[in-house]
Amino acid sequence: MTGFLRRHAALVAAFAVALALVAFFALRIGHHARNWPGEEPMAPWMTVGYIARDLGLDPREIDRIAGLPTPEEAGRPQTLEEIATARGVPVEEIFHAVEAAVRELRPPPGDDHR
Amino acid sequence: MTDWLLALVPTYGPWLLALCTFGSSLMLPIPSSVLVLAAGGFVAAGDLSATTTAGAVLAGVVAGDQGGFQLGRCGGARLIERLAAKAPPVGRATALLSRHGGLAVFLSRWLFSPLGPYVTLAAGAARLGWLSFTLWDLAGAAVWVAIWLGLGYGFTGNLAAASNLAVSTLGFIAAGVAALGLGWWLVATIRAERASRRPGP
Repeated sequence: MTGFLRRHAALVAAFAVALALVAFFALRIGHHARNWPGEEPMAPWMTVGYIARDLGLDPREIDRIAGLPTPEEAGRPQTLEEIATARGVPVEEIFHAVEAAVRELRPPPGDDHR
Repeated sequence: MTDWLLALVPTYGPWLLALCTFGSSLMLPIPSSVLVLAAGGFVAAGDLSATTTAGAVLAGVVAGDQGGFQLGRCGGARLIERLAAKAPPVGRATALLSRHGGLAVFLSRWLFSPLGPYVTLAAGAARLGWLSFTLWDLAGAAVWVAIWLGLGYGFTGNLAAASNLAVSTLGFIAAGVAALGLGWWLVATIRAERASRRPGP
């Protein structure tokens, strides 16, 4: 057995590394599944459509409440950063407008008094 | 750089995706899988068309691979001939790739995707048939596009988590395939040694 291991050390080592990688990735999959994050934070590259899809809301309602241009008005879907640049305001201002619209369309769980 | 590129996805859409996947197929360090993942999210949001996006990504990958394959054919063949004259295993590996390279091209397109550009170059250098290469490459690229675009579509809003999960799952499958192959090789080696030790009739 020792002789075999010595003669084929590279093959045995490669097999051991492959098995270790199988275990490593299995543990990582388990870790990802256990620590699945909540909503992705808003980012300048997102469009209102992208944010609305994530939250299950109507993007045009967000546009209307936040006073943002619809893709039809702008000619194409714009990122939050593009909207901010066109208006000459910091992108955070657009974030706040979208967040306020989202709050209006989807009250947080504690606000539901039914 | 990724955020800056992501911001360009809804603006330049299919053109940007085709250009980026073309570049990364030629070993340029572009985070194509993240871009395609985000594109899946924009498709789900209705900002991009599914067919145009999938078509552009596929076209970019396949065009890039054609470039890599031709580069391998022109420059690599001579280099491999020279190496094979000094190291016989190189010649044997090249012969193996030219005979059974299709499957390697297919798997390296999606399962072992970091190896993709290298296998493409090697396939060209090993003189794998152009039609065989193109068909296997197209099939592998289609699987890659379906995985990353589909994940982006399904996991809009959790792209980073989806990307990590996809990388881990593909890593798990790739390591599993490698472990099975190496295990089979080990068993075959043990059997061959036992058979050679057995006294003849």
